[in-house]
Amino acid sequence: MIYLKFLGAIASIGGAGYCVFLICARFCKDRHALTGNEQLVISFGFGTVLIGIEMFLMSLLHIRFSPLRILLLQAPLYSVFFVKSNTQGAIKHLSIRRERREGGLLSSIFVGLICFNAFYVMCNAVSLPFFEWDSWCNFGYNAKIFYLTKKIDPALLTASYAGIPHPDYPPAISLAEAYLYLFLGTIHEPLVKLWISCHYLFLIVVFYCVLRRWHARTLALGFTFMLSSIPQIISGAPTGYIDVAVTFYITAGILYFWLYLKEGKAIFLCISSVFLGLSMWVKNEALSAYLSLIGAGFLMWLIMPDAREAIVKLRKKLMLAFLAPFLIIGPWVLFRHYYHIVPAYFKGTLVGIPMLIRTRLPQVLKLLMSELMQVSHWNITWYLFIACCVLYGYHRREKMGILFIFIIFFQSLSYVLIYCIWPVPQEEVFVHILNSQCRVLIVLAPLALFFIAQQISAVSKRNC
Amino acid sequence: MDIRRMYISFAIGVWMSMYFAYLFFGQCRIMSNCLSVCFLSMEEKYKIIDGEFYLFMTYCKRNIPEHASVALANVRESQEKRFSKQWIQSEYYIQKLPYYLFPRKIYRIHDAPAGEPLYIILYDREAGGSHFELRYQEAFIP
Repeated sequence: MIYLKFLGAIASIGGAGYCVFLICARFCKDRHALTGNEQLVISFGFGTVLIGIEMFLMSLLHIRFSPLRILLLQAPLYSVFFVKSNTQGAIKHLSIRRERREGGLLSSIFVGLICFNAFYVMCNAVSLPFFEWDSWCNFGYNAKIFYLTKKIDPALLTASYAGIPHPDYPPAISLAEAYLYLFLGTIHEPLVKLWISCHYLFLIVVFYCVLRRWHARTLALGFTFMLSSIPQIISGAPTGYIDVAVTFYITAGILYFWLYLKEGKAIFLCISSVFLGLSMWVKNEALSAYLSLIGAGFLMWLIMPDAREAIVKLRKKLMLAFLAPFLIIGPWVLFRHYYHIVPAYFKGTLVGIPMLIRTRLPQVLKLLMSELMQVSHWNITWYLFIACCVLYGYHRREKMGILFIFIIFFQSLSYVLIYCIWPVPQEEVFVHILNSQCRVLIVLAPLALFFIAQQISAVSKRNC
Repeated sequence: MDIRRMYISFAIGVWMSMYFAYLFFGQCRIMSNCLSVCFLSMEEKYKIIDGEFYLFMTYCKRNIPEHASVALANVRESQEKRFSKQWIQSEYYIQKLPYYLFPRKIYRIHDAPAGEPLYIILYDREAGGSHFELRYQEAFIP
């Protein structure tokens, strides 16, 4: 019975997300630019965070959480789905379609290995309740509190007796977890872990769908297999940590932005913008990823005349798209400000920061570099990335690919900075870095692999 | 073979060999472990994770009313070196108590509000013991 309830909850999450996707599609008048598989994954991605935002707004309006109330408040969304769109056509287009088989044995091997990895992640996730520190201590504990109190209590978030370690963390995933508990009628951590680990699946589907637009099936599957088998992603996905989830939102946001630059279809920009906005509801570091994207766009505008022309031509749409994520995260930022929920980083003064950077920087860089070069953690991702950067320097086949180099550079810079100013004693900071660096760097891996795929396949113009 | 195909074959070939060397067989082993615990009851799954500590928590949950205040007397807290194995284990229990016992209010003994009726949990784990083993004394003082 509990599994049926779980399926019902998942269906409601996907349904809500799909309605929002349809609204985006109607706004841009171009739904068919995306395949059914992509639409499905986008719907679940939108739905998970939207449920969280809906519950957050319910709490602000003093409406206590219950599955019925949450679904009733979604009714206007569903009415848009039924009234404004061709329901039958929408559902037909959403259905998963199998691609025409091509590529022979090698493709089948890649598909087999990707399925094996996905099965491993799901199986591992559903086997035990939360046991990794952050998964229960931050997100799992918050979810439990939201489920039991049926609201977000700002006083409780900061109360010492509640022992919430990071009240400033965005609450969307915890709220989505609480939503599943509400639907199930009990706290069932393995099923919640299963749902969180589904983001691993969403990540590889989005990555494959975007790559498949330009590459042969075998090649796209090959790179998707590479993404699916990065050891850090494989080990992070089933634990209930949300690093893979935030990686999905950030990667989707950046890859659809890239698609917009390549194909110019407004729907891609709209989806990118929504994904980037939602990613900030998942984890604070998404803000730095978003600022990295803006920084990368600005640098491209500065040094590439082609990009400058394109950016000037599209400036109105780009401005709107860049503002939207701030509007999406706005309510949470205001809430935090109103209730004085301040991240630990901003509690100290700025005076000591240059000193901290000077003393910690060499060690932080050394630790991050040695982590990235570990084949047992990242396979050969970063070696290939460096080789492709050199290749890019020589050939400049896919000029706009520099966007990914800039994003990875800015994002890495933000990690270095955060580690340098981390408000813990000097002797402890390196223990914290060693514990967390392998997880935070996950965000960069899909972008690096996408860049690698792009550059390797641009070496010769002949098709594989 | 064109140069592009050569690059791609090389990259994927090296990747595959690293995958099989570092990950694949470990995955198979872990998967068989996961399948063996997949269909256990939730109680048994929690016992796998927290062992005796989980039994202690269920005992506490049964005996301390909801919304009561609880003070934690962690006898070894100040003796351990930060980030030593013992310290991490101790922190793990301290952090996990509110997780299991919510909505009860949990204080460390020196932060406990004066004049409020308290339940005191005192536990003493064996230093250097295995990760999930806990030796405790229960002292509930209503």
